[in-house]
Amino acid sequence: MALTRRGMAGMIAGAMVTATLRPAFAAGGEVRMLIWDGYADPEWVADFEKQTGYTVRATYATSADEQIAKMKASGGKDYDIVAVDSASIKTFVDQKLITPLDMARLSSFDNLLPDFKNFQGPIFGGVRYGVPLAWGSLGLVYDKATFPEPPKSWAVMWDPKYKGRVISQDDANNNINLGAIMLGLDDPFNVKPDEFPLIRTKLAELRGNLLTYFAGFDEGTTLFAENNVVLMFSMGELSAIALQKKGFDVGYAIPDEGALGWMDSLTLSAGATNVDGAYAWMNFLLQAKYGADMTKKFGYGSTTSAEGAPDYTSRLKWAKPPEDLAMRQTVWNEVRSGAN
Amino acid sequence: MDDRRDLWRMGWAAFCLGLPFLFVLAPIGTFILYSFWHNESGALVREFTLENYRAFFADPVFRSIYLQTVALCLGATIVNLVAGYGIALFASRRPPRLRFALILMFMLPLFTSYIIKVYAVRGILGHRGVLNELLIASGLISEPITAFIFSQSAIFLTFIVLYLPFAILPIYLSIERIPENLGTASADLGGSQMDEIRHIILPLSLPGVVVAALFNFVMTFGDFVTPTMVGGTEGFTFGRIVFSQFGVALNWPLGAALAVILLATSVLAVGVAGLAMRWSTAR
Repeated sequence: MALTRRGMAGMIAGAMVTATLRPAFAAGGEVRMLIWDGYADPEWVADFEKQTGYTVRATYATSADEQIAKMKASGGKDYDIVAVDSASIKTFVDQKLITPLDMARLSSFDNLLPDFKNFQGPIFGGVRYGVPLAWGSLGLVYDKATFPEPPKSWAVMWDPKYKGRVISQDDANNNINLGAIMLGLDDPFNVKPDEFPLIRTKLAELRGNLLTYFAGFDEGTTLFAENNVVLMFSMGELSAIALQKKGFDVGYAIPDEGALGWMDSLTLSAGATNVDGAYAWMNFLLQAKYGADMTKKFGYGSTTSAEGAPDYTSRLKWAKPPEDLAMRQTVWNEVRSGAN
Repeated sequence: MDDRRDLWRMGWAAFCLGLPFLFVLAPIGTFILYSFWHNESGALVREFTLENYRAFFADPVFRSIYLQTVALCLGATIVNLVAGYGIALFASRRPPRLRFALILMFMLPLFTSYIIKVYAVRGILGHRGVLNELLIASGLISEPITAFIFSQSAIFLTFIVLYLPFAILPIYLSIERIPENLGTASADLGGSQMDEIRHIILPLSLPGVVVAALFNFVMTFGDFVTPTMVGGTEGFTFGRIVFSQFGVALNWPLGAALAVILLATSVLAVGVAGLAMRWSTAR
């Protein structure tokens, strides 16, 4: 999901900040950031540089794996700030790639909306490693002509009435999460061994009702557009927006069982050389005005502004590192092979 | 003077041998090596083990998908051999200029990107595709036929469309090489056209058929993009299983072992093809 979200945002943004050339004056030079698309809009960077005298160098990653590889290569010395998603932040902490935040220096923390102040994702052993910046969900895209009211349950995807008109992601991890959410498991990211067969059966039933699986954001919207699809387990809010732009009358729902959410936090690299600059950027970016602008420009939910943001944050299950990815892949392969 | 020339020659030889070593043998060697290691709680353990191969033979999912994929690819190969042979034979019997135009026409798809062709096939077979629109417009059906796409048969059909040129070309070239006077002699001796095809052209063009079969089988067997894109929920082939081990599962050793099995299957196909070739030329 992360990869496509980034690709899409990149296209929408259309512009990228790279090394900004500017004479080094005033306070301490360059802030180097390893982030996702949409987290350093050129307009914000210009404001920041004018206000503080720092310069910004942003490097955009395409996957968490790539981030980890880049950070490990230099022990984090190449970056001051890293934007980390909630599913991989534990790895960053375990591998000592990021370092605890000094809350006394993070004056912008008060700007966070209450939901995100209380978000436990970046806290390990009582110590805070990151400050939430942006979020999104993996919801249900539905055809409004078929469903005048947003579907209340994911079970609608299993309904034989819509056989052959439903599409779903071809992703092991997200499907196991969906199955776990459908079964109402307490913790969808910590599936017990005896629960896997139940999830497998559930997903195998869904397979029979699907038109096809899709891999990637664009593939999902294309398949929806080219066939008479009415329901999609989507890769995020942007899927509905992209389809609406193509002229399809679709809605985006978070069913009552809940849905998967992703949450990215800004963290301080263990090898940061410009710590002052890093805090300056965090304090600068975490303002309602930039949060609202991010939602407007890139469609991400913001942690500092509810302006234009959806109201379903409380129903999202924030992605955590799952119990056993290899096991999830094995179960998913069994579902895909039709061996059930 | 001689020394310098020797040096050049040695350098050139090293270059010619070094490139394939660096870009073909070394990577293959690496993944064969990986296939004998294993993962333990996410970390690579560099100890010799047959665990990954045992996993393949013990796992009913791996085995059944493997056999299904072999059957699918053999089927597509056979259809393409028959169709390719017919087209190649037909083309070779036309006057030279028409012959060239015909072959060029069938080779033209090779100038287009593979992925565009898959999308094109989907655009034709899809629910709102050209074929359905035509059928609806002509009044033959009122609702789009959904069976055209997202099934095993869609994969089969797409394989045939994509890989037919690789069957036509080698067969055509081997038919072309058969001296014309053999046909004339056959006719002089009272042989019919069917006799000529059966006793002269078919046996002499067998090497081309073998190469065509090889191309088709090896290429379809390794293709995991087509099944994903047009196969729907049935689009799960052996290539996809290999691929899945390099995703979130991040089990490179198992993925490498499965890739070795894929490679071994292709090598086996080459071996069978070689034997068939020797058998056909020996006769």
